[in-house]
Amino acid sequence: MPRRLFAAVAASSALLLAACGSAPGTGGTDAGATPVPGGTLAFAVNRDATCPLDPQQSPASLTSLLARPVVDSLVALGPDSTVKPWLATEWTVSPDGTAYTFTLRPDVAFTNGEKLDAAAVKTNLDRIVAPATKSQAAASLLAAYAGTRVIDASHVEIDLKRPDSTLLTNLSTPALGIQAPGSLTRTPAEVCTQIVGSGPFTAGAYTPAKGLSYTKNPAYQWGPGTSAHTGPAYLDGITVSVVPEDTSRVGALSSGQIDVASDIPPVNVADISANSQLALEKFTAPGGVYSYFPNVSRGPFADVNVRKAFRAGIDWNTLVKQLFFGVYDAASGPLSPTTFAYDKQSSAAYAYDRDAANRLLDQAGWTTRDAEGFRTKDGTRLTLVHPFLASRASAANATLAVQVQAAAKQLGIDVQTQNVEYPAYLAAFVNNQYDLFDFSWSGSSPSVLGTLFGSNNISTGGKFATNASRLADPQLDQALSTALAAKDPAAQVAAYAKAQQAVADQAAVFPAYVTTVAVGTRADVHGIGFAPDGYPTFYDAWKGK
Amino acid sequence: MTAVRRLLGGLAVVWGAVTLTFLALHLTPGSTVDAIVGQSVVTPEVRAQIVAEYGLDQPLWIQYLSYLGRLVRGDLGHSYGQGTQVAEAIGEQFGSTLLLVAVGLGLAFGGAVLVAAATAHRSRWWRGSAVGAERVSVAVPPFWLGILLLVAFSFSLRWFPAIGSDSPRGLVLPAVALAVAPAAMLSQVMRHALEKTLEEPFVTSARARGLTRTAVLARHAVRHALLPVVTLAGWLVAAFIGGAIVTETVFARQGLGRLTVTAIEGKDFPLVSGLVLVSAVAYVVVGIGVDALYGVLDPRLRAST
Repeated sequence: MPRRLFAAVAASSALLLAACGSAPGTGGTDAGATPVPGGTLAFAVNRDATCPLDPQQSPASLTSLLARPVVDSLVALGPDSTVKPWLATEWTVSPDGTAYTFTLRPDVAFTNGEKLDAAAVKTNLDRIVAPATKSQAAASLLAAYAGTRVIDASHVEIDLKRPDSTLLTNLSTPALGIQAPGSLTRTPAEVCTQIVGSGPFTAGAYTPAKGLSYTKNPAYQWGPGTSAHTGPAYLDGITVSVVPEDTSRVGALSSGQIDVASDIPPVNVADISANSQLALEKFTAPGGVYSYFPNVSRGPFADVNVRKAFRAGIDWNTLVKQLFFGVYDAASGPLSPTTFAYDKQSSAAYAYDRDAANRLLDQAGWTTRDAEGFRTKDGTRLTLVHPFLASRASAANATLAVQVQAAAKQLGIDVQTQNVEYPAYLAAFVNNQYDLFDFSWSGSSPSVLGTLFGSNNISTGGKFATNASRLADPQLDQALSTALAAKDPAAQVAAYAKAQQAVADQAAVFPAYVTTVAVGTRADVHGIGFAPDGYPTFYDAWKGK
Repeated sequence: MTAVRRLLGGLAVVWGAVTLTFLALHLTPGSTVDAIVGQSVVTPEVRAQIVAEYGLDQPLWIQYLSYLGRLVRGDLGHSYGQGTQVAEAIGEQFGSTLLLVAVGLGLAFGGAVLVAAATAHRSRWWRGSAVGAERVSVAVPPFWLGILLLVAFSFSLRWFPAIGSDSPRGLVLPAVALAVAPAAMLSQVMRHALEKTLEEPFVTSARARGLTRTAVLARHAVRHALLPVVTLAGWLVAAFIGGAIVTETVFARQGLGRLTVTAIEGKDFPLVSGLVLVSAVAYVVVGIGVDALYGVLDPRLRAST
């Protein structure tokens, strides 16, 4: 799921991470308690988004969070990556995988009075791919989109230029959610701050730096197949405020001034768990992890042994544990373990072994040392250029960069971390002027492997693309296209396993940590769910007395 | 004549500020379309759409002239990031910041006058502790002070709401956090001026006529002591605009400070220059106001102008 590259660099916030989520109510605890309807939930998020409400335009994950209560999708994605009905009751896929036919629920109404029909689906999808929408994320989820055919009022066919087995997953996200067609005739800017859908809530207008409020849609009878209940939402409303300062947000929660706070920093997790008046909901998002990528196309990292040495020679596990107070897990592979088709077998390649690392470097010919203790070969120091966006990095990621540099020095590798501003950072990336690059890429499908390692995603000619390692491996490409064309989940799993093995063999990534989303709630708040992309959902939520 | 000169001077300041902002944002490396698209993968068609819509394919000087032209016509342009008109985006946040700054200024002035009057030429211990407190207050980072106030008066005592409240009670903590450092600075300057004034012969003669110390302070000395304080008005405006950014963030208040942060992060040129324009106009207005105030406070200056 393409989304915001460099997201974890830009902020530690999980809300910034890729917006590729799905149905409300896929998680949540309190299965035994009886929900109480009523009440307004006060929810604080940690940042503003530009174009905060229309995920068809905006790539920000916050936009997906804020749009989800208002916008329903054709299908919903369960926690085990199964696809469930939502606005579509059933669907069929053509034998060649390029035509998806959906049967729509007959009883769905948008909150402006319009009815859901096939034409409404077409209006939305066509709008997403139209250049005038300037879609920064949603359109890339429809990269294979050829068009939509209205069969009759309740049947619609989505045609693709090529098979894409991620289509259903993508359709479950708010980005491809179905907004009221009449509301889309307004200017894109107007849609940014006020959207109309068929969801369990209606949204008021968004005020930057302040937030917005939602009101229950009492007519709602078409909840997703993944939720815990049917019918209207329990809550009468939700107010969202924007509280960027962590201390203020956590303090407001613990003093009872708000009910739910997003993005609890790892340092506060233990305190909140220990407080009987509060509860902590944790969710490990599927998709890409926070990683360092070696540039295999130039310099020392062109040698696979040097890449393997760097991977084995740094004790990522200990670094991560210390940095995030044990809240985040060290990653063992390019995908988070909660991702569909995550391959446990290839994770052994990511074990820490310093002796092996030194042996590999010796084998690679970096045997001599200079006065400062760095390894040299033919009089050249083993130097790696690492552009770093300190101004937008979280404190933890900045510390991690320093510690990676120190650990590399122990191996005799000179990592030159260059603090640059954003434009220079982007230029270094696009123009292939780096050896090491760090960022995270979230998303709920294993197709992120293609985004991160596909040879068709290497930046060329000054054009930005997302393959930071610049790996071009025909076997990997083959496995990825097999996975995209496979309709059978088992065949997808096998193909993605092959791809992850290829990434491990090539040492094309140094995975650092798996982002865990932590949402703090008052103890009397129940039923908060998580979309696959890691943001909280409120359809099943209720407040106890 | 003087009024015309002042107005032209003010316009020059505003023009300079806008031009410098334009240059700063366009001469830093990286294209604007990259900043807008930045971290997303977009199709070439979308990219072309953005370039065409914002006129980014024009030479820089044409972009500059057309920007100035629109500005003269009162059109601040369209924000890349907020998706709205700049004037609208600023208007939406302006009231909140104005209220915060006004209350903060009131607190700072009022507090400074009280403290300075109560401690000028008083016992060494009394005066010394005030000076000490002022020095600490000036040195305390406003961010930290804000957190401290929150922890004490909102999270623990629960007297005031912590975040984003529009109510008068929600204004107390942010206004105090914003006012403390400038108030401490002002009261130092004011006490110095008061003490000098209290040594003037006219004070002695006033006291000799039987006026109490308080009456002398209130009727004569404070007015003298206000002169150097008014001179600091420019600095004060800067302190409050800068302070608003931090205060609004800590207390999650909406306002221009928060908007400024978002705009700069997003390299949102139209919005940044709109905000610079607002600050520049505020400076100019305060400057003109201060000049007028000199005349009111000090009759000697009226003759010379």
